Amino acid sequence: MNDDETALVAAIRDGAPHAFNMLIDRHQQAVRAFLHRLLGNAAEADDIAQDTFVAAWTQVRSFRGETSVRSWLCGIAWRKAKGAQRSWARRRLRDAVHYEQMSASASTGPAIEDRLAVRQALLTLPLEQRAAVTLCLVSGCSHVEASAIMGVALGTVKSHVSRGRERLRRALKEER
Amino acid sequence: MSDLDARVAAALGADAAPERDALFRLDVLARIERTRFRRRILRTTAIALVAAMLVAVNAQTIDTWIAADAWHGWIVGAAALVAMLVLSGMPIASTPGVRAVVKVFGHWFAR
Repeated sequence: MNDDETALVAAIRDGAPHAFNMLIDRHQQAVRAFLHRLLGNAAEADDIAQDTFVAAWTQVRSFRGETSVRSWLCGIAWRKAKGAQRSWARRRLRDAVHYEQMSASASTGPAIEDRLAVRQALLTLPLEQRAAVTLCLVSGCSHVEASAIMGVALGTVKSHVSRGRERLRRALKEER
Repeated sequence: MSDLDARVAAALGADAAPERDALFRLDVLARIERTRFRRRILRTTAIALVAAMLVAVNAQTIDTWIAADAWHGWIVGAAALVAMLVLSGMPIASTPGVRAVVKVFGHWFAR
């Protein structure tokens, strides 16, 4: 954890009014991107992301600074997403395709077909594998960070990322 | 990085949340306020229950103590008033009049 983040966490602990706002501004994008790809649903992802920041606010005194703030937040988000898995798993299949088609058609960027193929392939991966792929390929975490966030062995993360990436590449090849 | 890897990365990175999102921040802060409020209510209820139980268990002792001296009745009344203010979440120091009374008592005790 760098000095800037240490100062920010210390300010939050001291109750500085704008410190927590800064923490949200700095890390909301990473946490939301991770959850969005993990759950395949933006509304669900934002709901859990908000819960994640509330939990961070509650637990800030117990944060010891052994990892970066982003890893700490993603760890909370991962545990919350795992806990919520049962409730959203049933809705996922029904909502995900509809949502992804809506969001893909409404925005610019890479080809819509690519995005749909990759996201649908991502949703077919087991949750742990999807989390590893998302952390390493979307959030830009290292394998070591991802293993700390998920609480699994480094080798498991490497294997998840490798297999997941291969699955996504295959989905794009098939889509061609 | 192969062309396929680049396409995978681009597809995964599309539709990211904005770098700054005031609405998201406000939603988080609103949830924090709700959490704070719930905690305060729970704490107040717990304190009120414990206080009520203590008073109920020691009712006879308190009654005897009040009967012993007229001042004791005033002391119990004042304690009950302070307890009510605390339980209602009202900061005593900022309550109109209470600050003045505390100041007068402070001077009186200082003499």
